[in-house]
Amino acid sequence: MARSRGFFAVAAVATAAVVFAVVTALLLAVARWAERDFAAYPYLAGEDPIRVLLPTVQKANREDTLLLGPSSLGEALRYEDLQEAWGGRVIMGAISTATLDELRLALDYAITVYGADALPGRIVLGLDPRVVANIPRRFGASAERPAGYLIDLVNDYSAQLSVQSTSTSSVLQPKGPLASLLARARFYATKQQARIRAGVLAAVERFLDPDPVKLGWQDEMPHFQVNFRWLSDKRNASVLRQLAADRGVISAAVTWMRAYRSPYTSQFYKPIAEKDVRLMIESDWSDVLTWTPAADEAIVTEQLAWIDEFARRNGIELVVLYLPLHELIRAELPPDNVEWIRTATARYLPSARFVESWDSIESDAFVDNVHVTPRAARIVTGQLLASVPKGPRTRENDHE
Amino acid sequence: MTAVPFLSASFLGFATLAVALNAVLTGAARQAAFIAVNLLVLGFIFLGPIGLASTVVFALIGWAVIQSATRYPRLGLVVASAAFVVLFAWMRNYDFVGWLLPDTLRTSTFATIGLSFLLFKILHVAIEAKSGTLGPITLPQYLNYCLNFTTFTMGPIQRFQDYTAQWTGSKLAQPVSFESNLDAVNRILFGLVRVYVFGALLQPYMMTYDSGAETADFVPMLVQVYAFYFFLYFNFAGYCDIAIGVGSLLGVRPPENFDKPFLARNVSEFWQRQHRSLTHWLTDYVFNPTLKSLLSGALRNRRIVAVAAALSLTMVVSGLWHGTTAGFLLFGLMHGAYLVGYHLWDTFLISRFGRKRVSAWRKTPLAAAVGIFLTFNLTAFAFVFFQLGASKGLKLFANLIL
Repeated sequence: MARSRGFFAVAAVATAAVVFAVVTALLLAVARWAERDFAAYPYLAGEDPIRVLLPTVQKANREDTLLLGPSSLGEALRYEDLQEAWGGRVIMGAISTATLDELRLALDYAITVYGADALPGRIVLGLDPRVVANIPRRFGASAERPAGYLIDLVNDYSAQLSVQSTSTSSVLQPKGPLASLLARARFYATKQQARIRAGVLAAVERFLDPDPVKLGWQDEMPHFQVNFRWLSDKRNASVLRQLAADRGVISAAVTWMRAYRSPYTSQFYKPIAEKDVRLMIESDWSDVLTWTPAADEAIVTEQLAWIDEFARRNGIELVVLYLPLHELIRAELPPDNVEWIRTATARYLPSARFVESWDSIESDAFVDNVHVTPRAARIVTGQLLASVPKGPRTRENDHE
Repeated sequence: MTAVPFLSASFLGFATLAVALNAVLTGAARQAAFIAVNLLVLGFIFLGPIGLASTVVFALIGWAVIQSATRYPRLGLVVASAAFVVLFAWMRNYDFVGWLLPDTLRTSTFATIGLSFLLFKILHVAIEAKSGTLGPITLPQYLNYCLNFTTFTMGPIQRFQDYTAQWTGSKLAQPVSFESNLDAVNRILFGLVRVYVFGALLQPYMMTYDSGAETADFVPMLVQVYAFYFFLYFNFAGYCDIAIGVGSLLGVRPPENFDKPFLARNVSEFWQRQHRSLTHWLTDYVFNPTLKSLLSGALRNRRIVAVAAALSLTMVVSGLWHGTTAGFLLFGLMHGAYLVGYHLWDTFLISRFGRKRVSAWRKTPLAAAVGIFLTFNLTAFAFVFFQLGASKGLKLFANLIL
């Protein structure tokens, strides 16, 4: 009796597991389609480095462009506009509070795992003093290391690689079979929900509005006080209610879903008060404002040179975008440091083209201390397009 | 509410392991495997190593209390249980402990998750063991009953007899069929939806200690109070669904704990629908003995007063069982007042109009609607003390009335 009761219990659990696996597989297929063909970007608000691990997001062709930089790059450039102008796919590769070491590691990961054939024809590298100074984020388990967050993600979830790191550098190495199996299991057991949510919403959005790249949709978004993806937050609920009242339920839903599966977050926030910007600068930028370039010269120049060599070796056009800086930050940045960064980037990224947006955005177009509003994003995107009007060079598409 | 990670891969993994081991093992090996799984879940997911150690020690002291109760029937139960409750109060670091002990002797080191449930389970076993209704109890059997991971953190409070009968197979948790076990899996899924969908959707709107409900205008305050009521229901009832589902798959199904409490027509019925296993425990071990004692003593000829006193004491115990601060005491007192008020009203109506007429009148839709409305609001506002504590809770009522 006891044995048969147990048998039925195990059978029921196994049935549930099979149903769960099948449903998850189907939903993941939708997510992969949405990532590959419809520019759905999962993993947002702090988890965006996980995108590096997704071939559907990360793998590129020679006519494609990779936007690589901190989250402020992700908010300052409208990838849809760039895609429209440049032709190929524009991949949003912004990483929250990224450091130079983290960006280097992301490129190293891409070529090691996906191969040189999967690299884009162009990289737009977003730089600001915080990135160059390799100031690590101050939260999370890896607060101490410059590329800590990405290192943790690679170690925990990558099936192929792990990272051996010191306080100044990080080296990728192959993962053993057991570690690979565990990482894969961990990734599939715990990190698929965000993909499925974004993918399913993208599919619904596509069904309701078949235009996958609607230019300028960002300008129609209302201001949210918190992350608009949190539907259960009552402040968001009231904004969405108003949006539905103004534009109709379907249109409001499409707008929200388009935002949800997009890589943008901060630009739809209500801009914060100047006193709060000051507080954020005090908290997030104090290390940058007191940074001494001479102390880190060796490591910074080595990382810059690595990126330049990577681009040249793989035939990638490198465009450096000096990201917009808030007036309050510009006022406090030591001029010598600014000069040092310009000189170092020019010297150690000799193959790059440079686009200057450092002081192009007024304070009132910032949402917080680093992220800009949709209006400012249009300006920065325009500046980039003015300097680099055409897509990456390919055999079929030679600019000359 | 305790954030129990029922949706985590580790919890679901351990639960699956428990079901699989339960299916393939028998006898002492099954008992030993269940102890191991319980310790693993408690140690890794709920309590951490120090919490697990203090909880196991607490359970072993409980075992000693049970031995005292059976070996020394005259005073063993009373003395050992009283000492055990004192130990519980010290470990949970009740506010009133500060009136009796210097700060240096107070502690917040020990795990308090699940300790209230554990206390009531152990007292239940001690009382029943003393009365001889349980038969011989082995230590592994007792430990698995106490540390059963399915009901450890949030109940329901399963009776030892019920648990043992199901464990040994003399009573079936559910029919032996694939469909009934699939129903158990569905029950888990239903619980997860209640907790992680409905509960999570309500959470931003509910009153919290810092949500400003005590100073808000009437309608926003009402929304917060109602949202908390339903949040609590979805959260707690959802956790119980998961416990019942997993327990069913393990062959030890805990009792049902909720039956749409928001549809109760009076506060007495509310407690028959809300956290029913606690109500039954309090009825058996606090209300009934207190009433019996009062009616056989000083209040022999004053039944109404005796009932009122027993109800009040029961609800005070309930309040203090739920939490350690004055707010929980007020929660208990408020429910005590509700129950006494209802009892007096009921007694008055029956004496004035007769039981038949009162019963017929209560069955009318209007009476049911009025009863549900009043009960819903009375119980929803009692939760104000549950969530805001004494000071802010009183402020909310002052803001409401003045």
